[in-house]
Amino acid sequence: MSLLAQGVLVLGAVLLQATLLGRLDPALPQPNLVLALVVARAWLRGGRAGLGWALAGGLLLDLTATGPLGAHALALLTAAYVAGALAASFEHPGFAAVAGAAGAAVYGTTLLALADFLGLAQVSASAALPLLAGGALTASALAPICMAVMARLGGRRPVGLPAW
Amino acid sequence: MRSQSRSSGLFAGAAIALGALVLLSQLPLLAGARGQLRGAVAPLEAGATAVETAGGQALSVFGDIASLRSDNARLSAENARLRAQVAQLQAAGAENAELRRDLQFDRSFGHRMVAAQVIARGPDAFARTLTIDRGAADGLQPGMSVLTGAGLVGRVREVAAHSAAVQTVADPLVRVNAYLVKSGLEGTVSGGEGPLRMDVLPRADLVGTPGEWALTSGIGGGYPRGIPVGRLTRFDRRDASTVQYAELAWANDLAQLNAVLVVVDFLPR
Repeated sequence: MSLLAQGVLVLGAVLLQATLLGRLDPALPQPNLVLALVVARAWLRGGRAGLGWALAGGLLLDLTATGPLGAHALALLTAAYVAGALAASFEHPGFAAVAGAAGAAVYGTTLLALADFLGLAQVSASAALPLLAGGALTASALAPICMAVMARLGGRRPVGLPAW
Repeated sequence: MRSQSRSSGLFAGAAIALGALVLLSQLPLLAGARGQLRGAVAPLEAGATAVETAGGQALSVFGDIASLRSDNARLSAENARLRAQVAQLQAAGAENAELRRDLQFDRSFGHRMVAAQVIARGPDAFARTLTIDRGAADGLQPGMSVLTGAGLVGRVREVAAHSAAVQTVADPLVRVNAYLVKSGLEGTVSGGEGPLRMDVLPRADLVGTPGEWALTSGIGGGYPRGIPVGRLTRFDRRDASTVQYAELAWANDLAQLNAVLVVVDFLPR
């Protein structure tokens, strides 16, 4: 996939996230397409490959939300790192959903930890757990779909994938 | 091994750089630049929203969806207006005595407002935010309250020239001081996954009743007093606890919000 196509894909995912997916009922867990794409990229091509998408997608997400710039980028970076590490350790496609859930868990934890650290909110466990569980649930469903589509378009993942 | 170490160094370097960006972007000195930067992507968001709306309308041509949607929107708006009216009437009864005593009472409504279109929404459950198509050029400032005819939406967080970011009540980081109109119980409303949560300060022999409205209390000076926040759906009374817990159905529906009103003559104290 060319650099331009990758840029268009990430930008499109961010705009979709900020418009159509943002319309979903807030009482339900909201799927995060950008996170799913970053995890899928890291799973298929390694954590280092997910880095570029995490930085670009994260900084664009930061521009669509309130709060500090770089927070979503940092959260996506940690998700790419974890997904890359899991991809290097497990070959079986069944672990793709685990990578999605783990990526979403560190993504959410990073965002909540930053909010707490910066004094933007006092994050309680009772408030954080449903958010993290909802994120992990939707990412574990969405990430394998993204992986399947991307593998079909860009080829299967190589054997002996590096963690980073 | 050397490659692995270099790669971990790359991750650490990127993480440190982003951490520094997070800290720097929080400096009050850079708040304006941050808002302008966010304003730069607002036209893209507005374009994407227009495409999404046009796509939805095009699809609805193929059936009765359009008329059903229109009926639904009209009935929803009517329902929201009636709910707000009920809340205001409930509040009026409770506040009447207070109004008689205090001729200097600052009315909750009657503020000057600017209408704005919603052009984008927050990216995930950790940021239940909105981007609107009005900004500093229209007199908007950070801290201003945002509402609809149904009730409180949230507060302006950042402002660019022609757009602004609004943190909604459903955002997990937001806290709103509110009171229940019938029981008079006060507390703090917070957002997050699921319904709004209200931590209620207990008072002897007083309990909240389902259907009762929660309005902004004005305590803390963050919002004007008397704006509907949500309707009580569950009240969890715990005798041994210093704080009681209630669940509220938000007066607004984030998924259906297309236009909002910004109160431009009230700023947090």
